[in-house]
Amino acid sequence: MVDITERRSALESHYTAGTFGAECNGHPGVMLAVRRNLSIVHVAGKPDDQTFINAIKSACGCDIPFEPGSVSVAGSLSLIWLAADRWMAVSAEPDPGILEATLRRACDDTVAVIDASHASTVLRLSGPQARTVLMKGAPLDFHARTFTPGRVATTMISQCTVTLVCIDQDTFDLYVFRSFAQHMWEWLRDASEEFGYEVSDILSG
Amino acid sequence: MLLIQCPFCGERDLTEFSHGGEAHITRPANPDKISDEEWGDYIFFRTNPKGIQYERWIHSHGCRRWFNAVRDTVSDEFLGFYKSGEQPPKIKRRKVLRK
Repeated sequence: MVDITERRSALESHYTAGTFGAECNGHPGVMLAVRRNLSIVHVAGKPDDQTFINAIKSACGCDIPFEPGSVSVAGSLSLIWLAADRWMAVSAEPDPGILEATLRRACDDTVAVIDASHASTVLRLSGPQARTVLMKGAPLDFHARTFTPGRVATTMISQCTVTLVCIDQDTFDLYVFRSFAQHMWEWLRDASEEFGYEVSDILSG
Repeated sequence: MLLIQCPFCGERDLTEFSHGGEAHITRPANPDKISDEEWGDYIFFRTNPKGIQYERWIHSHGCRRWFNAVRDTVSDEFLGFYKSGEQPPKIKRRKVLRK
């Protein structure tokens, strides 16, 4: 019997670890991986409501990132700016109900807290050519002085909306809608081919 | 590449946005009492100017917020951007070189 309560990646049947593409003598230009078992909760609240600001701070352990395109981090939890009144809390907690419950307990009913853990597939792109690969797809300024670690931007790659988070200078997380994950994965593999790329084992968290 | 200044996200490529038609069209307060012609005007008829137009845009592949822009429909040049609910900026009609 298949356990239907078990979370399965949208890429499960397309994911093969190994080294592919151009000859790279053990130094692939790009590393690709899928991050699994994350809790992703969307939060919408009024930015000028002090009760909301305090509630999020107590629940997440970090301040709400008010500056457009910024991210706050507290341990394994990131609070990611999405829009002027919307944020996304991401944690490595495998049971998505826990993060949602924590946020819901902290906030009153003027705040919308929605578990969206199953809505997106999270891909991690890293390596010396990771930035170049993204430049091929997204109409965004990827200069190393502009899109710096701790910045986020929602943009478009190959007709799909993606939320890009810069983790460090050569590492990026891509949040893609689950139903577009396979398309995005194929696009990334194709774009990385000229640099030689390695598909790592699935990252849990 | 045509850049649009989202009032929330900053300067982004046109492909991330969707156009929402002419801005500042007020829905009639009493739809039951007005004539079919007035209702038709509200639903279907737009100014369609040759020159400066105030229009609505949404950052559909970004923060998903609506905002307003001022665009010259002849040159496709954007002359200003402002949030919904804000007063539109005064734009002086400029002389456009036309042959």
